Amino acid sequence: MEIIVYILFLLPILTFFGSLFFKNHQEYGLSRMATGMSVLQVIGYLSLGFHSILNANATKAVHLITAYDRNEFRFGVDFFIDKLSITYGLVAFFILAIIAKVSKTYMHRESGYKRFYNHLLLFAIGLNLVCLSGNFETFFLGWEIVGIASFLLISFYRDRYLPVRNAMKVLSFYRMGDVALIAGVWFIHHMMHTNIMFTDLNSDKFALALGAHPNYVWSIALLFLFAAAVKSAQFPFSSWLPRAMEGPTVSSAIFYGSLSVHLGVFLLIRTMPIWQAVDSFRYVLAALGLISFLLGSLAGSVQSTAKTQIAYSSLAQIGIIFVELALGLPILALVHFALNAMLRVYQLLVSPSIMSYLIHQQFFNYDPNKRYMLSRLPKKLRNTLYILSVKEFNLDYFWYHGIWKQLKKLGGAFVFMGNKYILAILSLSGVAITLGLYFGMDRFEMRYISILFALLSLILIFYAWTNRRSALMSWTAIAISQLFFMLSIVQNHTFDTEQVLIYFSGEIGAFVLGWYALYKVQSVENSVNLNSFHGHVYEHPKYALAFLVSALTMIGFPISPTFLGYDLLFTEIEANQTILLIISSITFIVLELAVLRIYARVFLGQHVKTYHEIAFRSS
Amino acid sequence: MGKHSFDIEHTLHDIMHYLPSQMTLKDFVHHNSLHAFQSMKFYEGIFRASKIFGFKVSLQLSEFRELYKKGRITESVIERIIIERKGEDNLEAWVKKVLYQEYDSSIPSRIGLLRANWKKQYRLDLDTLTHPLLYRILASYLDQGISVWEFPEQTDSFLGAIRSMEQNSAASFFRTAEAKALLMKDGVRIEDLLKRIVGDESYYEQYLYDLCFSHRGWSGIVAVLTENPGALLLKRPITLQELCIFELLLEMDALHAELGSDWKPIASFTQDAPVDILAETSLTELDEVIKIWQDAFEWNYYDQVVTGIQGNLKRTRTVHDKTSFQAIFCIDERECSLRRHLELVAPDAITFGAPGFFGVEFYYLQQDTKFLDKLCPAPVTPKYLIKEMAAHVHHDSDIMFSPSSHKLETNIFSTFYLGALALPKLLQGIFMPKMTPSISDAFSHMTKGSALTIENKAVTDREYDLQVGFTIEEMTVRVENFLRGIGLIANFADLIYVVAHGSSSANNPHHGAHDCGACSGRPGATNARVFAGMANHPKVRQELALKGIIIPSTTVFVPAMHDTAADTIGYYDENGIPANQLHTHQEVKQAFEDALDLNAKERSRRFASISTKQPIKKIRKAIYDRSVELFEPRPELGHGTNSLCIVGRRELTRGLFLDRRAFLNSYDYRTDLEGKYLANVMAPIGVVCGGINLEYYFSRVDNVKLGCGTKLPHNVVGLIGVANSSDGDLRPGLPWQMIEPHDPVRLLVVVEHFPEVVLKVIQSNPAMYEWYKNEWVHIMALHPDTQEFFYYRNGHFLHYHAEALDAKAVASVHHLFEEAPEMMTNAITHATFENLPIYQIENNIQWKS
Repeated sequence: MEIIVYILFLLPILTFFGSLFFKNHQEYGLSRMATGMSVLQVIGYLSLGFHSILNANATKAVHLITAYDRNEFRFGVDFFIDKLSITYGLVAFFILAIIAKVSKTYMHRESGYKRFYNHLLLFAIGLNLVCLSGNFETFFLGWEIVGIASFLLISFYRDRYLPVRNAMKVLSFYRMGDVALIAGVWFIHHMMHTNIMFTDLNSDKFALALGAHPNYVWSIALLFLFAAAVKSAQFPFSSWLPRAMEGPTVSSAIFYGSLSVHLGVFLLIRTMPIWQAVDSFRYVLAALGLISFLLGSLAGSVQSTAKTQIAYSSLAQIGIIFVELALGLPILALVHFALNAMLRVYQLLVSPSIMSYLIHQQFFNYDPNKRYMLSRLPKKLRNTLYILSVKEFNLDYFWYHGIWKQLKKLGGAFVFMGNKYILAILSLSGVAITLGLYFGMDRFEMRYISILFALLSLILIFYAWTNRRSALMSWTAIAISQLFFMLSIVQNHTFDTEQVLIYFSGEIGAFVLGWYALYKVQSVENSVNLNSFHGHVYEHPKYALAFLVSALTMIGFPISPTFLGYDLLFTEIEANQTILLIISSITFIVLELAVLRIYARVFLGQHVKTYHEIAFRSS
Repeated sequence: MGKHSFDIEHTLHDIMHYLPSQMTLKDFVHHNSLHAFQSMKFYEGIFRASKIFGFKVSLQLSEFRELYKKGRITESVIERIIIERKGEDNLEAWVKKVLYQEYDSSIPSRIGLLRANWKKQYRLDLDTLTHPLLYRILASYLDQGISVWEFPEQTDSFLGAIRSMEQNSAASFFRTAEAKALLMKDGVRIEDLLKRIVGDESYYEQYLYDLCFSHRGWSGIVAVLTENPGALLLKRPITLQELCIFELLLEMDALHAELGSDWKPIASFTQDAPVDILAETSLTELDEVIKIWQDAFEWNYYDQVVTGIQGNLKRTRTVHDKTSFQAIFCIDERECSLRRHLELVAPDAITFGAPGFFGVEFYYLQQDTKFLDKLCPAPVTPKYLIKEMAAHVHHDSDIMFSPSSHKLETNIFSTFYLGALALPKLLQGIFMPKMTPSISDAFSHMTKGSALTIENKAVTDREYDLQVGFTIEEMTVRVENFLRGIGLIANFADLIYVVAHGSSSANNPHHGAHDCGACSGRPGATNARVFAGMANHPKVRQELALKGIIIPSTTVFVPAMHDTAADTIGYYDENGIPANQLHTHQEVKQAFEDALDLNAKERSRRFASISTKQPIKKIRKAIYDRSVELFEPRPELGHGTNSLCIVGRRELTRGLFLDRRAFLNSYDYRTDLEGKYLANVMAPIGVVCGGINLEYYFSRVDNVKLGCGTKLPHNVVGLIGVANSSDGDLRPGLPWQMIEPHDPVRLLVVVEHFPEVVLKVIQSNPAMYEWYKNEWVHIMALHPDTQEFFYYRNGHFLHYHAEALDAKAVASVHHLFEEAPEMMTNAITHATFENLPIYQIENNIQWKS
């Protein structure tokens, strides 16, 4: 049993690394490997399923490794197997197997053939981790990998403008969800004073703690709902889903038709023990689901393109699944998930067919007098609903102009940070304080110093995010911001060299590598500003890759110990430091956007050199 | 500009001329992507287009040089071209330039320079602010059946419909009251909006170009609908003028919403003088170098063709004394190989080629359907209607495409049962692909055994303002013209097959591009049946006899259709074959099966997923499967690689391996020494074959601007076109998967006739002459007596000396297909080597002449 879990965990990871060694034209091998892995995973999950049925629905916790364990903080990779993980895993790898198989011919001779499979396998790792996860840390790991894989696949056609822009757009939503999730886990941590396992969620001790902290429970449940609503494109986040359909149809099918978009459902089922007893929360959940269903269905009914129609229909169903969960029907929700996932995968995969099929239908069946039910509404109501539905209830506008643009305006106020001397002074003083603390200098005993550092970190990251000039300046500002982020938190506590080292182990390398990549591109291309997309990946694919790796490391992607450092630092924020928590959360949201914005603007989008084919911006 | 004052009608007319003119995807008709520049010489036209619109119009210099290094372009041809173009004295200097000199090959564009000032001045990206909503509204309005909720207001114009919406609504498409108020004002004029947004009249024209060409896909389809509202099944009137007004309103709306009233018209802060978009451009040295490369690339291939045909005519041949059957195919270059294989398996058969509408033009009304289909070349407007009757139409639907899963009232329920069905459907689609109602089936266009209203009962019998069927006289004219055109006026075999073609493919919005180009992108089976019906009509035969064409009463024309993707064939009206011919018919069917096996094998060499070395029946099955496979973006390769058009007797090409690259039009100069029928034959060559060729050319050299890019992310919009994702512009042109094997060379037309006759014929019609005069298509005359080639240039046919390249002989086509190289990547420097040289096929030269 345990060995199966280990194999399930390892197989996608090994396959992913294996896939990196292929060449683009080795199509057969790539697809065979991905398909084979997925089939084996299906068998693995099936055997877990049988085992569970034979043992009267037994659940199973498996511990893999403890990466860190000190004070109240323990970070381990743990697995938890129950109906949910088995069902989701089974559906996921079944669909993955299909996608991996059909992509063999579908993606044939695509210049990004290998890249597609790399991304798909990265997605498989993330999804698999989410399914198997036995604690929030492992869960988050998978969740974040899925998010990055999404970003990479939306911007798969990286030489066009819209895929890159929409990838950034989707990322900005995902990131809010990620941080909500981290904040939720932070609350749990402070409620329980330890990291908890999913097995603990049903324990008496946990139930007692929940009873003792009703406010915590509400905050936790709302934060998780926020994360789930983002990932599942529920109201008011729905507008990202149709815009995510930028990659090859096969990747849109698997991500946005089915597996990625249902992760919110997974999260809610997994955290049910936390919120199921809170009736008022269940009303909120049901209301959110219902609103999403109504708006999604309405927007879906006016969509005049194949893929956006499916996107809205899919998220409308997820709204109903949320309602089912609110009603306490997780099994129904799981069935609904599986069927919705299958249906939308199918619909997306065959969406190009509707051109000939529906035209043919019109030839035989068109009736000019046949009108849709809603067309019979009173005229004014009808037109109002129709216009709102076409405009997607202004959701895209709301987020883009109402939220992000305002934040960017705010960020624009810190343009003065874009000064070599300011950055030099800041970095030197940051390093000096760090060294001072290391050599035993007394901490500043005032809380507001901590907040001051956090604010400085925030300002720097805002500058980096909105800077339109030098990419190198932004990159440097990000690194200094990270330094002050760390300082703001170690201010709280004893200076723990180990924590700081873990945190910086990846950061420093990432900074240097990223700086080098940008510097090299800049020296060849003269200037690398952030005012527009440059598409330098066309001529500098190696630097692009190097920068991507360093960017991912910088934002705490699990390729260096830094990702552990982030968790550590977050946990160090005290329960009563709400302001620090809020500032840190915003920093954390913007950090990823700022870092990947540099990657997108320098390396992706329409190439600035026009000697080869370049698609129009609008295409 | 500045020379004349702004004239909106004039400007919009010009803009429409330069916009892509691709119809909605259901009516895919190939055309020259740069048709607007066709009044200029080819090179001047394409370089002008490039400098105005930023298109890439040839391969890259580096690609040409790579092809030279790899031997695809030879030094001797380059030198010959340089001498022709630059003179002997400058040879050395130009060789250096062509081969080694560095050039800045970036491609600037005049479009968008003015509108870019919004961003510079106000940091406003108007495209991002207006385009997504504009596309959504346009798509919702024009939608032909995707959305379950149709656009609620329908009036006689687009703006009228939008006004009705706004009038009776609590919400608005606009963000500000100002824009809405302007819309509601009756008679809002473009000039008024331009005055507010642009300010200075001398910039109006440039601004409108910027506007329309910032989304040339949508502007293009609206321009097409302006001129041809009937292109949509569901009536949705719209004009380009309305689009401009609405878009300007959206721009004004965005400016108001973002900046309040605190913004100035663009002319007041732009630093640049107005640009005359269409102004002359000058040729650069790089352009001259590209000309030489392109010519060399083309002639390196054409020389093989010239010597190949000359060599072929010298071969000795076995003559059969009886013709077992005759078969007339479409001119389409995909039939080139099937004819070759048919002649191999039935050496005593004779094949012909002609445009696949077989000279009969009409609208077709399939039984139980509500719309007409035009079945003839796109420029022709038929006056006749052919109705299908007495058919047992099985019209199946596919539950998986039911709109119920998108409807508010049913989507919960249907998600459960459709979701449960999706799994087996998907597995079936992957592991057992078969024909289903959602696959576009070439044979579903007409039911076998149905009746067609070929003969007109009375001239008063009219429907849809069209005459139902043809009179005897009208039939006779068409049959006579057609038969004389292909030179079949005597020696009729007992069975003459009229083989149309269509193409079945799954999950393919561009399926129309694979059907018959001479039938407006439809399967041609109906035309084959109508033609055969006419030619079999006893009264028509009587009339024909009076005109000197005596068709024996034993002769029967048998209609059939070849599915070019599945490599299957279907026969129609077989009950018209007399009993004593049925045996022969069975033999012919077998011959077709054998030829289709070979054809499948030939095609399979370009498909990586099919091994050419398998047993031939397995290959045939694999080829069939491709036509019904959901996840096969290349069910067939369409017209990819087309590069020749040969108008003449089959003797020129019989036994020659032309690698499916030649349009073959039968024509016998001996029956038409004056060239009286040649004009008829030549009329469609430029527009159909030249159009196909140039669309492939431009989609190949700039697949992302003039083609529609890779198919994989395409999203079907409103059943009228495809776009990438939700926010993207419509994308006209051909997808990458169709043009991969194509060498971007212009079409070479070879006509077997006396040069002076050919010259007279092509000059007889200015529209036809333009193709050759302006060099968008090459033309050569093959002198029937001397068998020498004459190349047309600047109004004359001049004797042409090709490099002597003897076509190699090959004994076994199997060997040829099995050993052919396969491209590693689809870059031209790899892909072109998949195209084989011309071979003589040893056992394939017998016939009765």
